Amino acid sequence: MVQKPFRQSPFSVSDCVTMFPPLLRHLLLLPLLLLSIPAWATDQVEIGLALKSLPLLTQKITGSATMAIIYDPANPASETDARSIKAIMDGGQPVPGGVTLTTKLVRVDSLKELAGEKIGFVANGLNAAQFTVLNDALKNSGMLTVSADLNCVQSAACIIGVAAHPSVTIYYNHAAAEKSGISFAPAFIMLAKQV
Amino acid sequence: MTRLPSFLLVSFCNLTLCATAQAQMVDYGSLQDLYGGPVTTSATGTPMLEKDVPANMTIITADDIKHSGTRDIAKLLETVPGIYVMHSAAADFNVGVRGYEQADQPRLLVLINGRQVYLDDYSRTVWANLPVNIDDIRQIEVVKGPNAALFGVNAVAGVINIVTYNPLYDNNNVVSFMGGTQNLTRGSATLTHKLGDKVGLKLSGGGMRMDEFDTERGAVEAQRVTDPHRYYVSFDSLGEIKPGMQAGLGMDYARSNNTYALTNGAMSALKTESLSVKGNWAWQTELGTWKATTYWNRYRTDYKGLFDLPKLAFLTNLVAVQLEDQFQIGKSHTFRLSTEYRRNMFNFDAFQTFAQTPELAYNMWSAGGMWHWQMRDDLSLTSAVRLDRLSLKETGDLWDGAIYQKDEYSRQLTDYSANIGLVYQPTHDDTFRITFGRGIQEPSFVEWGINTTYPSAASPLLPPGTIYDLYGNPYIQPSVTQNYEVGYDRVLAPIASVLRVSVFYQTNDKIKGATTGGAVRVLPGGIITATQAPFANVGDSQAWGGELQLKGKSASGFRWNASYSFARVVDQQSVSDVVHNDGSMPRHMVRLGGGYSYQKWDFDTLFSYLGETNMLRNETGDQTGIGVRHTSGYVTLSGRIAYKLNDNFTFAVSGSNITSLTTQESAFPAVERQALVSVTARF
Repeated sequence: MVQKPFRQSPFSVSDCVTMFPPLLRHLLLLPLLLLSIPAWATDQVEIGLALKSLPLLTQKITGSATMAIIYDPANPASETDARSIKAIMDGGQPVPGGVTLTTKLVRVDSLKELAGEKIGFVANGLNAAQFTVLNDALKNSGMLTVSADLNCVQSAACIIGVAAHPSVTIYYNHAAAEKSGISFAPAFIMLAKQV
Repeated sequence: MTRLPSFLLVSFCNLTLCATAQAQMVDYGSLQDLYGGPVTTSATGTPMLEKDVPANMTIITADDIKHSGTRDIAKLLETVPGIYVMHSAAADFNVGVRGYEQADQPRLLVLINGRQVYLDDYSRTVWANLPVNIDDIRQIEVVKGPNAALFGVNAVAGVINIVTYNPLYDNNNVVSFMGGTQNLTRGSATLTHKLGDKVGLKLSGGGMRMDEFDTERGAVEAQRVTDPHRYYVSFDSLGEIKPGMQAGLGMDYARSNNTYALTNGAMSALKTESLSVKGNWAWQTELGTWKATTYWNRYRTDYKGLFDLPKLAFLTNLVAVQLEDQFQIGKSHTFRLSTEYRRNMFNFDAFQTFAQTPELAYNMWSAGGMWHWQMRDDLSLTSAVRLDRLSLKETGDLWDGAIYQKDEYSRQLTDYSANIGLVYQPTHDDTFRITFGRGIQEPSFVEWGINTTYPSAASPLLPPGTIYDLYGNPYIQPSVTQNYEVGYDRVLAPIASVLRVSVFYQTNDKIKGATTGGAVRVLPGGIITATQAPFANVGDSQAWGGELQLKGKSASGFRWNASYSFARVVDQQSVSDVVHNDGSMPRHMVRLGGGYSYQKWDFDTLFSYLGETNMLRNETGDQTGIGVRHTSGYVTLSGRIAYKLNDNFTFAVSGSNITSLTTQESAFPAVERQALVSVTARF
C-alpha cells in the first residue's frame, strides 16, 4: 500500500494572517504547526497541486465546471476535511487555465447525485468498501477523481493522488483513468508515480 | 507485401505503455507549475526533474535569467559551478568547462531547442550571433562532461541546451529596451499569436550596438578592433495536426560583427551571418512516440586579421535529418532508438596565391540507442550508445604543390560514444549519481582541410617571396574524452536549499590543435613555401576536480547561490603546440550570489573570485607571437536592482565589474565596467 506521509498543514488557517509581511506571517504560523490540526487533513498546497494538473488533461476543462467534494458522512473527520476543502476552494483558490470552478459536497453514499461533474475531489477518511463504490461510479463518467488520500489511488477510485510533503509527488492510476475515460498528456504520466 | 500478424501487434502493445513524450509535445510551463521546479526532456527524451537526470545537469530558469541582470547568454552560464566564461572582448565569450578553456572553444554542443548552433568550420560557438531573445528563454540546461550518446555529436566538454517558450503552450509577449555604458543600445521583442487552440506562432527579433572596450592592446590588434553589433529575427510555429500529432516549422536569421579571440590567442574582427530553417514532427502511436527533425544551417564568417590573410571567409552548410522512436515496455523500461544523417559542406572564400578551390564535405550516419530502467522507485539506470560513421571527401581542386593530395582527404571514420548513469534516491532528500561518459570530438573542417596560400609578411626568418601554406590534416584523428563522476544532492529543507556535490576524473586523448609549424619547402620552379599552423593530434590530457554548491530561496523573498569549484589539468603535450590546457581556466572559482524581493523591488548581487590563469596569447597575430600569459586571480561584483511598476512594466539597473573601472580577467584585453538601464514590458 502507498503510505501517506505524515505532515501538518500551516495553510488552512492562513487567511487570518495574510495582512502581515511574509517573514512575520511565517513566524506567526509557526506555533500553529504544533496545534491539533489533523495530520490527515487535505491542505491548500495539495488542493493547488490537484488544480495544477488540470492543464495537463488531454481534453482540457474550459469555462465553468463543478467540483464534487466526496466524503464519508459517517466519519466526522472526513466531513470536516470535505468542508475544509470546500472552504479553501470557495475562498478564491486560483484555478489554472481560467477555469471557473464551483463546488458541491457529495456524500459517498449518494453518488447518484453526481450529474456530470468534471472533477471529484475525494476527502480523506473513506474506507475500502466506499472506494469500491466510487470505483464503480467512475465508469465512463469522464470525471477526474483526485485525492490527497493515496489509498484512493491505490484502490483505483482516484485517478491521481497528490502529496506535497516532503516533496511534490503525483500518483497516477492508469486503470482508473481508462475506466473514467480520462487521459493525460504523456509527459504528465511519465513524471507521475504510476500505481 | 507481408503484414505484421495482428496478434503480435496486440501482444506488443499489451507490453508497451506506449506513453512517451517528445520535447515539442511537453507543456513545460504546466509541469513546472505542478512540480515547483524546472522539467527537462533533453537527456533521455522523457520528462524528468533536475535531480532525476542521469547526468550532471544544472537548469538555469527564466527567473534566474531575470535576476542575473545580464543580457549576454554566455554570461548567464558563469553561475554554474565548474563553468568559466572568458570575456575576451565586449561581445566575445568562450565557455570553458572543468579546466579546459580556449578561444574559439570547440568542445561544446550548443543547441537552441535541439538545433545545433555551433559552427562546423571550427566547432565553435559565436555567442554574439545566437538568434534568440534572452527574454524568450524558458530555461538553459547546462550539462557537464561528455554526453554525446544522450545529446548528439560534439557533446565533449558539455552541452548547453537553450529552451525557448513554446508557441503552442506559452503566451510570451515581451518588449525590452536598454541603454548603457560603452554607448550600448539594445532592443528586443517577442510576440506570440495563437490560431485557435491548435496552432501557435511566435516571432522574435532584436538588435544591439555598442563600442568595443577601450582597454590597452597592441598596435596590431588595435587595427582589428570592431565595434560589436548584432541583429536577428526568429520565427517559430507549432501546430496540432490531430490528437497526438504535432508539427512545427521555424526559421532564424542573424548577423553580427564583433572583436573576436582566435584559437591561436590572436584577435580578429569577425563578421558572422547565419540562416537556418527547421522542421519537426512528432506522433504518438501505439508503437511509441516518433519524432522527425530536419534542419539546414548556413553560416558565413568573414575574418579581418587572421594570420594576416588579405581575405578569408568560411562558409558551412549543414543538413541534418534525425529520426527517433521512444517507447516504454511495462512501467519500468523506456527505450529510445535514433538515427541521424548529416551532410556537411565547407568551403571558403580566401585569397589564394596559387589557384585552388578546396571544398570539403562529409556524410555522417549515426545510430543510437538509449535504455532507461527504473529498477526500483529509488533506483534507475540509464545506458546509451551512439555509433557514428563519417565519410570525408575533398570535392574541389587543390594546387599542384599541396602537401596533401585530393584523394588523401577521402577518409572513413567510425567511432562510438557512450553514457551510463546510475541514480539512487534512498530518501526524498538524497540523490546519489554515478555516471560515466565517453564522447568523440570529430575534427573540424578547418583542422581537416583548410587550404590556402598567401604571401608572407617580411620576416628575417624567411627568404623573400616565401608563400605561406596554411593547410588542414586529413589524417588527424578524433579526440576522445572519458569522464567518471560521482555526485550527491541533498535537500536541506530547514534552510530551503539544495546542496550539490560532485567529483570527477576526466581523460582527453588525441587532443587536436594547431602546431607552430614553420617548415620551409622549396618546390620545383624555386617556389618557397612555409607551413602555417598545421593541425595535428598534439597529445593527451587529464583532469580531476569537483564542485560544491548551495542554492535555495525562502518564502520570505531571499534567494542565494553559493559555489566553489576546483579543476586541475595535467597536459602531456608540448607547450609549443598551439594548445595549452593546464591553467587555461582558473583552478579555483568561488561565487556568492544573493537576492531579495520585497513588494515591487528586486535586489540581486553576485560576487566572484576567480583564480589565476595561464592562457595562450598572441598579441602580434603571427606565429612568432604565441606564448603563455599569466593573469592573476581577481574578484568581480555584479548586481541588479529592479522595480516592477505594474503587472506589465519593469525598470531595472544592472552592472558588472562594478568595483573597478577595468578588470584583467584573462590574457585578452581587460574588461570594462558595464552598467545598463532597461525597461521591459510584458503583456
